[in-house]
Amino acid sequence: MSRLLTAENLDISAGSGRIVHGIDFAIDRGERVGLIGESGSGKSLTCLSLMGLLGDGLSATGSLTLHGDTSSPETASDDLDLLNADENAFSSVRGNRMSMVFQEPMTALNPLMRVGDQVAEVIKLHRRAQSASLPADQPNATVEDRVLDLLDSVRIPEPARAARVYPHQMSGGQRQRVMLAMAMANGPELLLADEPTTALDVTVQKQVLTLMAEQVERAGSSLLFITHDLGVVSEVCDRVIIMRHGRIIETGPIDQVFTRPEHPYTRALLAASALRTDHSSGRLLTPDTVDAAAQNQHRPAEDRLSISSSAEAGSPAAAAHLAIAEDGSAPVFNQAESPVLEVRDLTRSYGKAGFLGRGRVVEALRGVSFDVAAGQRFGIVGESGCGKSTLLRLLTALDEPSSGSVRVNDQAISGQRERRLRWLRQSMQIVFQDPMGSLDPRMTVVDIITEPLWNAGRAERLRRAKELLEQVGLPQGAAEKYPHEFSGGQRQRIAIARALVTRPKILIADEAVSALDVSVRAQVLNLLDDLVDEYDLTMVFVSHDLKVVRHSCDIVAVMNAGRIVECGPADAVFDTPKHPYTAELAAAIPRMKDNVA
Amino acid sequence: MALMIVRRLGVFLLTVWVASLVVFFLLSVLPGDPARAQLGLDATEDQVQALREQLGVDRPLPVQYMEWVTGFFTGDMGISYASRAPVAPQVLDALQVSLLLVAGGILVALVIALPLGLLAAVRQNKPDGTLFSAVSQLGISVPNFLAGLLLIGVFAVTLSWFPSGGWAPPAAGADFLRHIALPALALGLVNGAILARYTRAAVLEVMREDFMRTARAKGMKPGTALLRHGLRNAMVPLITVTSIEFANLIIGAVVIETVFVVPGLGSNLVRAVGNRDLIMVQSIVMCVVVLVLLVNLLVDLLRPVIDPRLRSAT
Repeated sequence: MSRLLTAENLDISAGSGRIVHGIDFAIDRGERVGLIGESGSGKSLTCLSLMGLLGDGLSATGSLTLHGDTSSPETASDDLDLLNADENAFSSVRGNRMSMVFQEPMTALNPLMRVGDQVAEVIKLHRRAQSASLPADQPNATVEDRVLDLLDSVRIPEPARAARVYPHQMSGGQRQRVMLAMAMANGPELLLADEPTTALDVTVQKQVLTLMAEQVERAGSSLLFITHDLGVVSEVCDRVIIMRHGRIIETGPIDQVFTRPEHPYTRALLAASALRTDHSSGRLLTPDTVDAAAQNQHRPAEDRLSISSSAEAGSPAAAAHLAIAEDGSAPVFNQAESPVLEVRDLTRSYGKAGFLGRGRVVEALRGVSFDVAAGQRFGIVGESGCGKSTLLRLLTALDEPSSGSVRVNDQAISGQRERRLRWLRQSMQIVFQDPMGSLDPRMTVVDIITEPLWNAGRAERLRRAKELLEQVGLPQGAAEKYPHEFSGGQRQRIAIARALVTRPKILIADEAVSALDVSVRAQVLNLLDDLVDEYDLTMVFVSHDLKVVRHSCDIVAVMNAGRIVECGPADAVFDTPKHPYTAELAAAIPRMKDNVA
Repeated sequence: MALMIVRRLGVFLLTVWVASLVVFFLLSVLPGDPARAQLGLDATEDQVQALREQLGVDRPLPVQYMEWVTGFFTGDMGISYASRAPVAPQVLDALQVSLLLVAGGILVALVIALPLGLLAAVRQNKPDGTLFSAVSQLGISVPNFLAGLLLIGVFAVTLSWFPSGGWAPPAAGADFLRHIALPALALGLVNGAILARYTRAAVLEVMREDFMRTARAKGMKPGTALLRHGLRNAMVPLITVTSIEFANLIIGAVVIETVFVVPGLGSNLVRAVGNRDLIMVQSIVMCVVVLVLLVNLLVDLLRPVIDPRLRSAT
């Protein structure tokens, strides 16, 4: 196998600060390499430097060579020095010999241009140079035909219609397929994919990954797949490179790295990704604890039995495992004697049937009934658009249901004036997904945490803030700082401290760990676990991540298209799903090859 | 789409109606009697009363409003209190002059703003880009009447290239151009500087968009990517800003017309206010209001043409 790309001593720096420290790696023709790392590891910058698309103020030194194809004498000498290539040389390589799929499908396409035109553009840009090497069997294929072929090859239904629509008329998964079609249009020698499925739902992710592997295979391209998700990388790559803080710390065939990791960080990453727990304490392994715990005591989260503290939290041992009936009628899920949270026949529709039926009604929730008993950890999983956000807004009385009721501690909260919900605001708190956006950047941490304590004095506030900071594992000195001085994981700890200041009875975690790196995720989940016990909380945990929900919750409700389709004890729901949708969802979770014993 | 057009038109008509109420009644309740103002303090009460009847200002306000508003939209705006001549032809003549002047001002503003803003954005951190930014910053801080006086000083008085004031109709050809040049320039310079800032911001914003990176990744050179994908996206906010600037220009024209002695809506308005020619003031103000609303309506209808995302939204 011949060499396609060589990076030697690659350095990337921003001004005087070095971000990537002299890394070496190589990619062979047809090889599929996964570049793995958490945020700040330099993996995305490495990828952008290959494309010559580093932003302003960033510069790369060292050597990066794209080798010519030695199998043909014409192209054997086409070596290109990527770091010193001029704009002309680089432009003819981008989208042609090398192409890229980006993370965010929603913004990567031009919103004002028809999809077909955007695909055609990349063909036309390189066509002149390529005309000699057009496939002989279809010398007169027009660009339009080629566009339709490409859209068809990424399995976009009705390519002719799809080519004429604008990006906003497509779903995220479809847009990512269009990006893939564009990237593969000229049969690139190297496809770079930067977290291409991170923004997608698991079932869509699975389809896109399969498609990508298939396209790369067919075109004989090499793949450099950048991701933080070890499960995803297992689905598409042969070899992995692990990066941390701008250095490559381990590299090798995927089976070897995942089964016999040499570097402690790799071990920690693997443990955190699999949500592996310590056998004796039932706690998630974190980078600090992974080496302390003996290897043979690690067990995958899937095997977790009743060791978790949550099982002893006083919840009924055996909740019923139910699914909606074939005729579509839904039972009351997780029915309890005196529930903390009681939801009955909840519906919510948006929009209205307008003049002459022009309006559009979206039924976001279609008859949801369930209970949450005191002390339970109730998980809600579902893909985007399933209605989980709508449900959350109704549970927290931030929105009014179209019909049905929500009762908290046997008091109705729907249809109440905000003034009369003060008790609810105190006894129910939320931790949001985005640790960057949910804290006011102009407020100090102490003000953020103690804002609800409006009648407490300055000293009292500070005392309480420090107490909470300690509980969430932050130094007391953090109190006087501002949110931007903290990392994502630390900010989420602040958000948790803020939620706990009113001593709530119910804690709602809305995708609370979805924006965090896996190793930080394990720490925050452990923290939540401890605090739920300490504060006797009832937790409603909403997430798209099935593994996380399975670890953190005793009861899981699976939502699809505005309904709960199945609900029951977490392990039972995922191990023996009763509803086909749950089975599909469980099967779509990317799994790591050969779980470490 | 059709529904949206109907809705926008409805909103437009409603706004025009509310505006006509505001314009008429606010100006009517101002102190000062048009008849007394014309006849002077020496006139007897009977004389004043007679003129009131002749002008029709003795009738109840709603009746006067109905007459004025129907007249306004049928081209009969009544008789000027001051000159006793019909208002409509005067207003229409002035409107034509003002429209030409404002169009000239917009043209100057765009010719200045688009290249300057684009260059300032593309060469953001380079000396020339910074210079462009500084020039536009300076331009914003110059009031347009001052720009007008400076232009007269240099190009009319010292160099004698252009007349220092007055007007010639478009039919006069070269003479028209010589007369419109300085006022249009004075009007456009300052607004061009403001628009240049917006252009720079819009282009910078677009250059940071993911799809621009996608365009580069397809193999486009930076300039091509900006032309093919960037500019049209930057247009979306710029069109809105330009329509707001249009209102600014019409108001700015009031001052510039006075400085350059151009017989447009602005100078007529100033004169009518001085003469307490209430009906003239009402008609001119209403004219300006309708003009601004009309431009906003056009822009509202134009934006979905450029941005497909606005087509499905109502």
